[in-house]
Amino acid sequence: MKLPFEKTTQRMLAVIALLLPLAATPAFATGPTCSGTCPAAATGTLQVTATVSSAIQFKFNSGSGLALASGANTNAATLGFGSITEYESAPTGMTISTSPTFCTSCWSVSTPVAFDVSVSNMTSSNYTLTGYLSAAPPTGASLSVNNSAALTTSATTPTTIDSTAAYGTGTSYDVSLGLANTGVFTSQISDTINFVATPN
Amino acid sequence: MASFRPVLIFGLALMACVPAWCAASRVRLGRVPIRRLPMMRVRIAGAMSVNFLSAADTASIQGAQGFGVLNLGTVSYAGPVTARGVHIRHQPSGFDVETSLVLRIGSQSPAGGTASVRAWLQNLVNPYRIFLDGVPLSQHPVCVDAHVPVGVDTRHELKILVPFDTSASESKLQTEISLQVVSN
Repeated sequence: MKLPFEKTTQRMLAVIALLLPLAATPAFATGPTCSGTCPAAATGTLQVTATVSSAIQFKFNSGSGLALASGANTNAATLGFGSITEYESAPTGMTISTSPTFCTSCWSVSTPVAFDVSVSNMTSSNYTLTGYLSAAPPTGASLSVNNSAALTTSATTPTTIDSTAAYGTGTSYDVSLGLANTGVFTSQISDTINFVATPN
Repeated sequence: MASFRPVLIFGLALMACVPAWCAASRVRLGRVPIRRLPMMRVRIAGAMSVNFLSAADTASIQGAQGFGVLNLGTVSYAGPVTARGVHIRHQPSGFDVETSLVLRIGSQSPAGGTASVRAWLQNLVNPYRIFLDGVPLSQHPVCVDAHVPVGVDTRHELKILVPFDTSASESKLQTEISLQVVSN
């Protein structure tokens, strides 16, 4: 069946007229589909970057019975032995030994010093503790930690104090000052022990 | 004449439909009278915007409207920090990297008002934990502040918890915090 051209055109226009309202519905439109007032909104993006580096921290513990004069909870402390003689009783918190192992023909005075060593963002089960002196002690005097060999001034080959030291709080070591029996000390003995904690 | 009928019919149909589609998408074509066409009317209560800003005592944020870049530099338990306005706070299980950032939510609406702020992470950054204004963030949007003043600078606290056992392979932290602000 063949329809006349005019009739076909009329039918098409009628169909278009019916479809026109549909063309304006949300199904044809892009954008918000809410009616009335939409709440205004916006988005933002903040890019955050950081680099976490591993760290090891060393600080002196302020435990009871310790003879730290200052610097507790820091990594720079002062330890004072006061005035000592071989044959008198040791000051509180100190021990006098007449036969220490790190020096010969000497006596020593010792006191415990505790460290807090903590490690962050690295895999390490323990650490090696070494020490060296900033300056050579006076003749006849020597320093030792936990009966290690007498400390030297060599920073490149420091004396090993503990090769498997445990992380955590309150690890205690005896700091000893050895004095030769024949030594004559007319002035105050002063020196600095540099402790080095190296993660294993 | 008969061979041009399909072309003519298609042309008529196109001429009738295009103005309607354009009206729906608010595009005006020539002299086509769109005023009589039914339109969806949507009223937006002033466009919103989000700006990340820096203050003298906060970390430096680079970027343009809606996008900021915050580089916290190198951080460690023992410090020191390399970026301005970044602070380290020791915790039993690690340490916090803390900084403040300034946010300005803008609106074209003359009235101030408030907006709610939701935040989420574009990607998880285990083992780190990220907090905005004390609210832990994840990949799911959470409301960090339901009433942030619009049109003024507001300070917000960003905190990243770095556990002790973070390995070297996880030392690079990079994530994106997405914010959505909606006017109240």
